[in-house]
Amino acid sequence: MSALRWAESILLQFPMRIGLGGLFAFAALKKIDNVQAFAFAIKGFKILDPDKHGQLIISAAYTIPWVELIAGILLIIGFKTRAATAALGLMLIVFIAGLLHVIFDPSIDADCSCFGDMNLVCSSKVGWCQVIRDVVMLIPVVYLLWRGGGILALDTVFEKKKCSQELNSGPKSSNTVDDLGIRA
Amino acid sequence: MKCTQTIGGVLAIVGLGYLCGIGQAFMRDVPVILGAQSTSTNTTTQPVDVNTNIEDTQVDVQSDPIEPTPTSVDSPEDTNPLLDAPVPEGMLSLREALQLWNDGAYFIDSRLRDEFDAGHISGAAYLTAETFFSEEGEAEMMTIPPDATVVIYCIGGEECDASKNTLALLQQSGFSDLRIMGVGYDEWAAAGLETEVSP
Repeated sequence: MSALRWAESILLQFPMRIGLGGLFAFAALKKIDNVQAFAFAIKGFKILDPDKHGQLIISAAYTIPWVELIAGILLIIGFKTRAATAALGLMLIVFIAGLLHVIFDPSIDADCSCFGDMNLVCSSKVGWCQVIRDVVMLIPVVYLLWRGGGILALDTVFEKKKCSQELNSGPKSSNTVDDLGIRA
Repeated sequence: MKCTQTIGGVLAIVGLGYLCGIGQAFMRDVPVILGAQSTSTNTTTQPVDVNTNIEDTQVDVQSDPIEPTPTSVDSPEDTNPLLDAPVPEGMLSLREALQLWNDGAYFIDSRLRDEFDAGHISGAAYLTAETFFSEEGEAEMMTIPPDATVVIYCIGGEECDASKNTLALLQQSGFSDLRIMGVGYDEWAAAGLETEVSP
């Protein structure tokens, strides 16, 4: 059982955390570096009217990259893994909705600006490629939400400590030491 | 219990991200804008008299690093119907843009990088919101005098936000005579006007 959990952690959870977290952290840094271009990109999606909701667009341009960066870093180190994954998952769903809005409105000609001025897999023009890419990225999100960060995550270290403390003061938690892989 | 913790964690991450964003906004020298300032509407609506030489508007064409090769306006271009194709209000027609190009105005391409590399108006510089704050963008802007006539183009039409975004940023940087070409590069090339590809 523990060997399986180690294998799962090393082969699935750890690469997923590093890959997804690293990708979002990288994308965030590109956007933080040029908030102006990201604000134009949000405006270009024409979801919000810049005349009425200009401040909201600007606030989103400042906030979204930082949320991506914080969640990405937390995912990489495996701290609050489920919360970080959920945050990134929600953002992916919002991104997909925005992309579909542009795709189904032929009058909108928008650039994705997903990774700043860089193109990852897809071109910068919004199209089905970006939707597929984001849906593919939802796979590790769902897996990590289901299984957690794995043994190599900081969460597990804190859980072990917490569990040890609880064992010393009596069994209160449903988590057993074996579940956490202590007797590997 | 775990679900509540996760939701709480998500809210904490979003809240922290918002605070970081506010901090970045305070530290930023130039405010983020979404469009050109309404007080300077002349930047896009100023009509161009095709009979007026641009030197009359005090543009220093001698220091123009673009050095476009003049195209004869007495050629068949005069009768080319594409030159007078309708454009959105306040934007330059192809004929007006060509006149400014012949007079040595600065042209800026705001399309995607690969589109620019594949072909652009001869002498045009590449400047978009993405490259504006980069070393490349700053180097391009250094070559343009703030009072020079600058024509910005992208794929053309009312939907092309890239030109408007670049115009807004240039306006914020102190450039005063900014125009948008109402048609795109494809129309320029279709009219048989001079183009070049990136080396």
